[in-house]
Amino acid sequence: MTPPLLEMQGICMEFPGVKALDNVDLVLKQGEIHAIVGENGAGKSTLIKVLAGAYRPTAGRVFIDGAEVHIADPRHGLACGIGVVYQDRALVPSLTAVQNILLGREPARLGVLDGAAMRAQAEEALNMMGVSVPLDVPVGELSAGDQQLVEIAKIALLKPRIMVLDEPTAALSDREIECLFGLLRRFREQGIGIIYISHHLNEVFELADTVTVLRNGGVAGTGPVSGFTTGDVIRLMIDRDLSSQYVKEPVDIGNEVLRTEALTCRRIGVHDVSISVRAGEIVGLGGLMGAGRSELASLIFGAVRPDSGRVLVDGRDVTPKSVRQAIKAGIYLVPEKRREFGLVAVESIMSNMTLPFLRDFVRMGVVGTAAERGPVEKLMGELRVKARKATDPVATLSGGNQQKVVIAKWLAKAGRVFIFDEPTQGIDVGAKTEVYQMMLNLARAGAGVILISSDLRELVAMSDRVYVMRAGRLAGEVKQGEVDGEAVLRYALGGV
Amino acid sequence: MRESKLTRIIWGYGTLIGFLVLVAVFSLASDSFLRVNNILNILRQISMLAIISTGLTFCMVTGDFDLGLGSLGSLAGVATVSLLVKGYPTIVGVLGGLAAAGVFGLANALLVTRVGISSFISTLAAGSVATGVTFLYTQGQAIYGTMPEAFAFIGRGYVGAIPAPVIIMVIIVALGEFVLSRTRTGRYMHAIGGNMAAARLSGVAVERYRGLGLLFSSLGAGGAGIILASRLGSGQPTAASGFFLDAISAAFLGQTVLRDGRPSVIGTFLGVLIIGVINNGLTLLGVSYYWQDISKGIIIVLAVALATLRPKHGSH
Repeated sequence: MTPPLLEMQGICMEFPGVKALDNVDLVLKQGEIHAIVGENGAGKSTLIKVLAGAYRPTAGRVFIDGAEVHIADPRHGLACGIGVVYQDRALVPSLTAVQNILLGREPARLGVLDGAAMRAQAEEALNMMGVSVPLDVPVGELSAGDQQLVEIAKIALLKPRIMVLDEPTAALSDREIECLFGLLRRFREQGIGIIYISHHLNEVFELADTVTVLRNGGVAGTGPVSGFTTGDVIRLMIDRDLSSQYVKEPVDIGNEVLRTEALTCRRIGVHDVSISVRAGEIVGLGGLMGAGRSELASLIFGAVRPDSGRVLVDGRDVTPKSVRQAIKAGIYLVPEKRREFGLVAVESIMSNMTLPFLRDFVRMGVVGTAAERGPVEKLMGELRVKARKATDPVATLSGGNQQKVVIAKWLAKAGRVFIFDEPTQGIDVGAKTEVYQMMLNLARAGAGVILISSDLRELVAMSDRVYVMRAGRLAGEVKQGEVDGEAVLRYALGGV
Repeated sequence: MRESKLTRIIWGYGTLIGFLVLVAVFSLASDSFLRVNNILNILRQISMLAIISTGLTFCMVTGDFDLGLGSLGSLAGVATVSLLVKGYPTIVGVLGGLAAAGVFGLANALLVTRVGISSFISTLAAGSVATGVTFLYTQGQAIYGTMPEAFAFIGRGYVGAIPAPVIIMVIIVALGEFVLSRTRTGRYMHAIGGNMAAARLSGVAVERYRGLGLLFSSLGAGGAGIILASRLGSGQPTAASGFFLDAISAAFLGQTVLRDGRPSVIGTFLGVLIIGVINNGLTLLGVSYYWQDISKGIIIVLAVALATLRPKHGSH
């Protein structure tokens, strides 16, 4: 029996504190389209990076045609015949298709670029794919579909035997997707093995021969696509392990505190979103990455102005034109990526904590007096922020303690609506539990809480209800008492 | 790597130690360096530079920059003198000069915060326009005439043994340090310079405080230009242009004073002192003026290079 084109055996990948891949096996045959599916953070991207040579696995072996290879870096990966089309395009927008396709491999004579040869090679790659794109305009001006083709041509030129595509349809129209599928089927006929990563299960069932479901860094199931239904796949994707790190207690639900009416902002891709949050409720906002959840939060919080629609707090129209107006209306945001959006890392814990309501902490126009230090130190104690003193720079704190500082900013003045955007990303389990406790305390105090999370278990465990977004729109609402991962994923994935 | 106490002190106070070494070297090399007279002389020489650099520090704290300082200073001096020779009282002349520079500061503020132009471009253009306006008005000639005694006092007067500009400098530097480190305005400016996105998402009026930084910068330049005009007893169209490089040097030296490399008024003032001491010391030793420029350049590069190389805290 001939060995498979690619075999990955027992791949493990550990980062400090996280096991991203846990004993993953994968077999790819010649002329096979093999889909890999899984939730955000299930390990799909990490697996590809291991295959491409961008990461060295902590354990495990990789075989090509039955011979073991040790892929040292992406260049070596390419030399082994592994071509990866990454999710975020690696094109230079100001260069033409020809220049992009041959970037770094330009044919030259005595150091002078050979324009005719470049063009010929690029055309050859595109002909081989049976497609054509405008060759002489900057790729930044091409449609998303054409850009994707240029990206693939770049890889196809190297005649890889294994081709990996990470979410290739994310920005494509239906017609462009059809075209891409045709292309991939032609590659399959040429005997190329294709690894296809997608969130869209309908695509997987239309295109792929084999599917592997990843969950929490491990393989949850694998086999021919014909052996699965979409329901099977979704069930495999969901992690049912509800450990005790979540703190959820019943809270009396009061009147509506927040309502959005048909909020729309085309520029950031939010369309017609109407949601409602009541006092004491923790309302989850689910969806895939790029579904428009953080964008919706930025509209509610006034960081971006909507084209149309309204935001109401306690029934009053407060549609904010700025962050300051939103804060005045009692809408507070704990943003995602705290180092980028939440913290002034070089400044002290104290100056971060008091930034939004600094006016309340000055004495005779002076900051840094006991009027500021006292409340800050009290809050640090209550939230158990581990630091030597209030004037330490935030940069010196651990991730969990940094996140506590971001949340503490908003505790100085009672708010009506708290939006938590990925509040537990990159923090340890202990700090996570404390963050959940803070959310619960706010709900108990009569605020409405919105939780945006890509961690499905967290979302399901903490939320009373869940709105699910897909492609900038509300895809559905999972009502109280019906919240489970399957229901959320069905709406998030769509088309199933 | 664990730091010993000694290396920590050297890294933490390197710029200050460097300043003290300079003072020690010059006082050994020249008998007159440490005399009270000479010290007052140094302070008077640096007074205008200190004021202009304090203003610059404000706009650097929010992450902006001001390349038009010299031109704004000259413009303010010319505006003040021409008001005074027309017979207006000193207070009107001084306010008029500050307003002339302030208008350009406001224009920068609007262009940077509303239009979104980088402050490098905006202040460069403002400086160019200010120079043009000054030359159009003066036709390139110095403006002379009889001016009030009170105006002469600003640059040339004494309170007891202390020169008046030194007193103004002390007030401005102390006020600047207070505003930047102990008031809400200063807090907001530091937050904006540290992470503009986070400041905005915390409800800080980012545009207002960035604009204020650029305004303060122009007013500092204007103030220095007016004192210079008083010292010169005339309004000269390029009088303050020489301050520009020294002010930038002082501010960069100042950033090396604190361990995290942020601008501060006190740090900038130390930078000003270093430049003042180098200029004065080399002159006392009879070193050619051109060597002063060369040595200043080298010292600045050395100081900033050491500050870049030193271990930062919090970078784990």
